[in-house]
Amino acid sequence: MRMPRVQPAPDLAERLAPLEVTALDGSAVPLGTLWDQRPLLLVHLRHFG
Amino acid sequence: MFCREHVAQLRDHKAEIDRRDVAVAAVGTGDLMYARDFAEDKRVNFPLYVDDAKASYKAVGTRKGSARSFAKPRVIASAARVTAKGHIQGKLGPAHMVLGATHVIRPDGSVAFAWVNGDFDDNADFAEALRSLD
Repeated sequence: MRMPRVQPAPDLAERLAPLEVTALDGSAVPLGTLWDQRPLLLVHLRHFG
Repeated sequence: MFCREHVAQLRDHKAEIDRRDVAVAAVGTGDLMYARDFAEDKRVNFPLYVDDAKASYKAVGTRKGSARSFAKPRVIASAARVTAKGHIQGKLGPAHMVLGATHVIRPDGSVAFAWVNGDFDDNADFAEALRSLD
């Protein structure tokens, strides 16, 4: 049975927002800027392989 | 290979995701060169980011896979299905045992959908993720 849908921590977005990821051009991007205008489908990949 | 299939699904349904006025972004681990090669090879048409420190992985609570999972009949069958579609396993990244996750986050910070992979082959159904906004 597939059931990895989970109950997120209430402050998940707050904790994610300041974390910086690196864009392919090398720039640092705070995650929170990715959903400040519209909903974001955010996918964490296992790896780029 | 499961990541490749997942990314290909997102890529092939990008127009549908756009029509819903939803942004999509994927985060992976490894170095930038590795990510750039992956983006080019998979013709990724949405923003791809690197989180080599895995801080965001820790924040969403991703799990670690077990080598024993590769011997599970379900995982073997999933691998055969994905390989038959042409998603061949590429170079393994340095954190390839870290499993993935999928979230839908609204502009107000509320989380409409949260999925933390329990094994290598159980990526979230992005259509189900989008329905969480209905």
